Amino acid sequence: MLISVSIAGCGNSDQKYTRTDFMMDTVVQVTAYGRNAKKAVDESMNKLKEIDNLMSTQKSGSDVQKINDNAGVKYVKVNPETFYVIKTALKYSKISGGYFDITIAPLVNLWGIGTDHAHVPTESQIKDAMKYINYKDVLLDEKNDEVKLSRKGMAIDLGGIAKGFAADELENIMKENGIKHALINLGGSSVYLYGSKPDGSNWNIGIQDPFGDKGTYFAIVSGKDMLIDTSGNYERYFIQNGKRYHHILNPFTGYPAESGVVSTTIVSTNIKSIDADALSTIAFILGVDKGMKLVESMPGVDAIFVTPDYKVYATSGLKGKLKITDSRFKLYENR
Amino acid sequence: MKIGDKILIGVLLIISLVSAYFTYDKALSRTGTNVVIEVNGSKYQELPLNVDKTVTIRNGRHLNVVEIKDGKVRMREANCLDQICVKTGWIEKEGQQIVCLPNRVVVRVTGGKKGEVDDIVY
Repeated sequence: MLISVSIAGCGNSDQKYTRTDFMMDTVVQVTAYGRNAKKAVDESMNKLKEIDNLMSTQKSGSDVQKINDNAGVKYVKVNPETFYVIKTALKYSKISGGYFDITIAPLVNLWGIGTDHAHVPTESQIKDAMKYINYKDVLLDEKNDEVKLSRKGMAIDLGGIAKGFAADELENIMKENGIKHALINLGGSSVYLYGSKPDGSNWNIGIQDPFGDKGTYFAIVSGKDMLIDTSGNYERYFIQNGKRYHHILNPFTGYPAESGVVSTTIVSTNIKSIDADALSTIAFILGVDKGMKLVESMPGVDAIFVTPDYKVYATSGLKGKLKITDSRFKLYENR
Repeated sequence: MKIGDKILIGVLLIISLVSAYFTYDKALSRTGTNVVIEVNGSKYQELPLNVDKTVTIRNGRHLNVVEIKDGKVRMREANCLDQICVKTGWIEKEGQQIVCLPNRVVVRVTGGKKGEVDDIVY
């Protein structure tokens, strides 16, 4: 009797559908549950491809390439979505006092972190690349969705924000398809928990151990209708002469950010993913004190900072949602 | 039979049914544990986790060797630069995965033992 009931329960349970693909310079994985799961996931994948084609720095014919090719020359008409992402990025440049800056592309290209030509540039090369960094030189024509970089040699890179935008778009696709439960993972560093788990319980998401192998975690965040976005010095890096150089560059020094943190995680049930994507990078560059202050000033946004001495600093809103699972890490709340 | 015996029999019956349910449920999910190998975002092969096997994937210049052994799976070898996939080591629980980004290969475990987490943010 019990057995037959349990099997019937399994048969009726929501359909699960998962797809993994390589887009936006990373791995994306979308899982949805319910009758329309396949349709929603397929549409999601198409949407990601679309966004990638618009916002990639690598793909020829992308809006970003067109803007960069015409730096110092002319305004370029872009897709309204690209325009929105650039506009939001500039907003966060302002909020962060320039620490988050999409015009950092010449510096990113110079270092080449994450490519096979990654190397420490010379001091003069770095100084030269830094001349082209200034978000105030991104000119917007709001009426016509046109963008111009004011000086030749400038370039933008939307890698720090496009995935957040994509997660927001996928959320809409899930809604349109009547999906109640979905898990959206873009590049591993942005995870969106759409609804609850199919059984109504919270999703449990491990936070990467900054010192361990990929896939090991030091803490678990539980929640539903929640986004989690991590930035870490272990994501992309290279080692030269025994020193580790990671991919989050400080536009004011020209070098990888050294703010005394190894990873920052933004957790929110309130803001859009596009905002969280920008904030995790900003929090990383600002470090514990300033980053904490910024995050605490935003309602419904929480953050987790990890320092090299295994200390974990979490904002007050994470009480009951964050569980440290690795005893080497010590939690400090309400700093 | 006294009333106490009847209660005892009833209790035992319920316990055995419940335990049978859990045993059966576990066995059911165990048999469904598979390894899904994806290349370029499409399914390449799906294999049972309980049968030892080594799969060599050649995709253009890319080479990956996936090894299934003793109910676990790992990326034994890859000709990618970062070797992140190889360093990931063995996985065995549902939802765990190994990603070789440069070679566009994903190995994931479906069905079977649930892990403590649904995903990991990196």
